[in-house]
Amino acid sequence: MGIPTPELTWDYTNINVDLNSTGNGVNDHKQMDKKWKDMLVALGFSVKLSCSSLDWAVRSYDTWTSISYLPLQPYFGDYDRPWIVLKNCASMGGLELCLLRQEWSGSNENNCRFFMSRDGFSGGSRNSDPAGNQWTFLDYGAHWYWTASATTFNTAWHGFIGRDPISGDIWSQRLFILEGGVVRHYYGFEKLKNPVSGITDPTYLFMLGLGTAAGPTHGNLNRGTSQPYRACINGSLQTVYLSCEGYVDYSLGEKLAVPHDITGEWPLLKAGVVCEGQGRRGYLGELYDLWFTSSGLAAGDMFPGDGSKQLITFPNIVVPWDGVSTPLLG
Amino acid sequence: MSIPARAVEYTSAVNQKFKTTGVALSNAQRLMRALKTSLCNLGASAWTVIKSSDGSTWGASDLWDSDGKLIWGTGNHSWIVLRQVGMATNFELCIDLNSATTTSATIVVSFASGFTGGTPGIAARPTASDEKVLISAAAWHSIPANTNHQLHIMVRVDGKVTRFFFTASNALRGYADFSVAKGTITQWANPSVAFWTSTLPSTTNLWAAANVFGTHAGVSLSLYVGNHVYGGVPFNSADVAYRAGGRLNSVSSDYPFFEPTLICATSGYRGRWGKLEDVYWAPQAGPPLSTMYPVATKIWVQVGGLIVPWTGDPLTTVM
Repeated sequence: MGIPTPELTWDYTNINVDLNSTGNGVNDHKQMDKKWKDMLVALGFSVKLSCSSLDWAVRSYDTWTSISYLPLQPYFGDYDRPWIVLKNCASMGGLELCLLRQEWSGSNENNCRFFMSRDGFSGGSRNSDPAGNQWTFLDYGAHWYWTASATTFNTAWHGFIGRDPISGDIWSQRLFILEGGVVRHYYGFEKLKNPVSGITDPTYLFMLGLGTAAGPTHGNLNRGTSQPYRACINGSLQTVYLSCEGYVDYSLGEKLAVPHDITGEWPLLKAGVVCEGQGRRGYLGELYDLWFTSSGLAAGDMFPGDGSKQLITFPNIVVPWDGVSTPLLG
Repeated sequence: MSIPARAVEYTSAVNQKFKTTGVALSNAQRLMRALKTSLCNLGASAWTVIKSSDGSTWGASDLWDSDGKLIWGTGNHSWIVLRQVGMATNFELCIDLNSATTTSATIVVSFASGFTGGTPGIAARPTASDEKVLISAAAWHSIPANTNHQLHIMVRVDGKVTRFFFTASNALRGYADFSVAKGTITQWANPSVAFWTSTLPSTTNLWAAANVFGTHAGVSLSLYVGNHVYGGVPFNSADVAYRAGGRLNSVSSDYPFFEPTLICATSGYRGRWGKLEDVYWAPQAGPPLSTMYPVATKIWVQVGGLIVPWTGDPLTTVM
């Protein structure tokens, strides 16, 4: 079958970023939130609004500049809470994200509230949320990443920017966070490849925030009912599945946890986008340079097996790699 | 998604109409002989008769020269061996009428060796060292008794694809595919595959069961037919009406044309081996049998769970 050549031009500047423990569990979680913001900025987002304990004022610049400004606050009550609004670049439709460091009890440091909006957020104060025509992505009580450690932990971050090779516009932004070799968080903002006719929305945004113990798997993306990807389809926000080749009951990669018995090759299965939402129902298109593979592989495994490190596994999906680096696994 | 073009054209013998004779035997004799005759009269891509039996004699010629020469039975009976060199040098199909019931037969293929073995005679068919029995003294179609019916055959001009199906009373009543797979792994030297169902090709008998057969290095391959999946079901799932593939795409108002892949799950041969040529998965809970793609030019037609090449003519499914 061979290894597919990536269609986008990939920027690997933000792969293999180590985030070592501060030695303090609470601070380790705080630095995750700050690093998450920093990585989004590195991948093409900009800070639109922020609020933190720096001065508890709403600023049109980044005040999440130190973890000491990021206390985790309870959801109930008018507590001062840090929040930040990030705006994506124009080629990704200017989608806005809002992250609030606010949780049910204020004690689960890997929880956050997390919203997105096509039209943008405005307002907000030290004790009220910015608002917009928004989609709740994670609310209080939900992990935005997972950690096996109750105390301190190290993580490895891999951020990717995929650009249209002609215009240079950003068409894909992905982040994988690993701890102990396991993907603990994944997001992807994607421009749809080969959209079906009738899609008039020019942005086709997709997004994912997986705070699961296993990362992006067949179960999360293809088989399960969670449909963590969100798609903006002609102005309507929808949940979508990622489809791929399969038989009997699910993905070929999940059914066969082995390489091909004759060729020795592991599968690379095109990822499609399927929506069941009323008015948006059907196969909508594909993702650039992202494939499902076999559940017999682990995060960090490389394609092909000749040491050329062209693609990397995270753990059931495969994306382009820089051809040089040995991946950090947290 | 745009409707695919066809790279290679087909010869055809479609919309062959048969009014019931009122007698099961004569209906069966006429239909089976029409199938044989059609397969052997398609120009450069025609199948050829290698040997046959009419229940009274046998030899290396076509003895099925009249309907009455087709004799069903468990003792002396008729059989025939046909060859399609467009698939492989000795790709052969043996139709053995070894049943007392005229709706039953044994259907066997040889992928490479041909039917050169056994002790053929008027009571026994020849055998092949690599033979695969597709149907064993069982139904070769599901046309209701004493019902008008139709036969439709499409053979690619290079002989690499033969598909035929039976219809009656606005329903598919049997379907067969003999073709050379495409996009195969390089190690697969003879990627000929075969499938015959007495009902219709579907998710049930293709995606959920390994009913397409091939061979590799002397070993029989049982192959599933892969499709795009999500949520634990194939895209064109028929049993969940709201599923995305069960109806028109509500954005584009059309269907995707997913290529059926060939997957083996048998230890030692696991993995994807290739794709079926010139065929696509169809929506099963959407348009009925005989839906054309595109509607105007009719170069593809939906038969059961598949979309296969068509002639541009309307499809006759009832008389």
